[in-house]
Amino acid sequence: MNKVARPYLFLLLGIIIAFGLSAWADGINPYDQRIVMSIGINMILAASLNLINGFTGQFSLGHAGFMSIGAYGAAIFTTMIAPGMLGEVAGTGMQDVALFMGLLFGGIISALIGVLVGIPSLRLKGDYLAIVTLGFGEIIRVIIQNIPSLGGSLGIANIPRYTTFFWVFFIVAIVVFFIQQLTKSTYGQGFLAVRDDEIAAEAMGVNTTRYKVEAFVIGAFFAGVAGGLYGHYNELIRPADFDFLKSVEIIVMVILGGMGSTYGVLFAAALLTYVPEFLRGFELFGVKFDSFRMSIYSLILIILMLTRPQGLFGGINFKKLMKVGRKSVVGNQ
Amino acid sequence: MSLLSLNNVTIRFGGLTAVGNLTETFEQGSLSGIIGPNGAGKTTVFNVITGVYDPTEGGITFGGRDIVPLKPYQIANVGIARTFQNIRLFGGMTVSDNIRVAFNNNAKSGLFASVVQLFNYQREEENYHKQIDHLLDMFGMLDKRNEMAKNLNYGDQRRLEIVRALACKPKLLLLDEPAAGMNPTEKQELMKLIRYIRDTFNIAIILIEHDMKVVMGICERITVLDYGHKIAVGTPDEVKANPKVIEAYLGEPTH
Repeated sequence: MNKVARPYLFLLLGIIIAFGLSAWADGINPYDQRIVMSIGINMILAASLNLINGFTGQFSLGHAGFMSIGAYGAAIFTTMIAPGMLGEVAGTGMQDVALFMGLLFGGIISALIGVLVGIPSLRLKGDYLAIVTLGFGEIIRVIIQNIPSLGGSLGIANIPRYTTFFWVFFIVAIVVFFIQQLTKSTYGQGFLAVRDDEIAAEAMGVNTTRYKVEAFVIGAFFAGVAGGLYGHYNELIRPADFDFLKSVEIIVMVILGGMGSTYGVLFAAALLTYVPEFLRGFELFGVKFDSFRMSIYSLILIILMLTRPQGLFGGINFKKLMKVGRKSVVGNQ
Repeated sequence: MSLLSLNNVTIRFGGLTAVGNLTETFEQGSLSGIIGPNGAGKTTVFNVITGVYDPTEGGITFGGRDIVPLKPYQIANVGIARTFQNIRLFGGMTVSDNIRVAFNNNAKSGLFASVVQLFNYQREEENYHKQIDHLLDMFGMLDKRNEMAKNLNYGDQRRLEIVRALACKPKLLLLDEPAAGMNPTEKQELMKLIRYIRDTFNIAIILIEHDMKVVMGICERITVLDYGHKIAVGTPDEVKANPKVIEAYLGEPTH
């Protein structure tokens, strides 16, 4: 029973943390608020990309594309569809309902596009898939840029600020719970099998096609939700926010955290979001780091990759390390 | 009725005929071997049985069912499991998780049940772990259950691959050079192991092997391939005496 309850306790803890952050956030200045918010959103993005890249081994460089679909989808929902459905919601309790439905709407559209991107992944692997997904991200961006009703390259402004700390970290908790449970389950072993050896996985009866598409769909859904949260915090979304560099930023979090390590990736997302901001105000021996903070940031990345190429939390066998593996059923003779 | 039958199976890669007009049947519970010089098309035969390649011509039936149109994972699910010539374990997963992959195909819990992990899921999972422990115990690997597969020694990796294939509950097990890289003692153990598997699990086994001691020692029936064609079939003694086989391995006698 303990085994069943533990993940749920963690989920509950996550939700309590979300509540706590939400209460605490009212007191801090908007600059710090923005950093914490970005950390949360990047955590969702990195954890969801980790399912595709880390657990399933499909190198995707188009995560920002999924994020933008979700951001636009959610923004369209809350600004155009929700007022007709729910009436005036801003400032009332209904704004959370509108946000929730918007996030769901954006996430589902993103997941549908995820099916489309998942299909080429059935034929391509490694570098080739990376190029296709990179192309996909750019196509999305250019298409949005050229649709006048979506604001073209000016984007959509005046999106209501519905995103709260609670929502962001609540969804972080949900994503972590979802991915952890899935990848620990027998069903979820299929994702890892596809990553480690596709031919052997097929020979073991694993439908690799289904797993790959599922990874893309789930990853795209959560990326879309993260996009929706971003849009409803930033109040403005532009195609340029979701360019190739954003995808790379998320990839770096996944690789630095350790492919296939959810907590490592969360840590890396927090670290890599915070460090550039921290260096902005950092002073050592009277030298201000502000002007070359990005060089330092890059240097940190290089050093970390040289010392831990498998990622900060990668390649650690926690089961063995903590000796928390299940007691054997038949016993050691 | 035979368990597996190949009818005139031909596989061509461009101009190269890797396997030509191979007709062969394998019986329920039999222990057969496929031998032949390097490049004779032995592994290609395994690949075509397991659906990695589709035959250019000919048909394959398994338990009376045509398996040519099936995808590799579907073929695994109808009861054909295999190991690989160059070990293909899931290196980044633990020993027990490697085996757990095999339960994937008949798991009743789908995506969402696996996330929620309540009710039947727990019972199912407990059942899988029991089966995994039982299998590992049978092969003396229980103490390595939480080890990463890539950290196992060579012999254990070969053994784990066989255990993993058995966890798929196959009716037919294909072993591709199981003795490769083993020393004589390990080979003796392997022979015992293969016989043990056949007897306890009551399944048919086909093995490809270069080590004649192993093949002649355990196989009841041997098929000899050369340049993709069947040149001989029979008991080990019959095959050993067959002039065509001697010619394929040692070359034509010069008079």
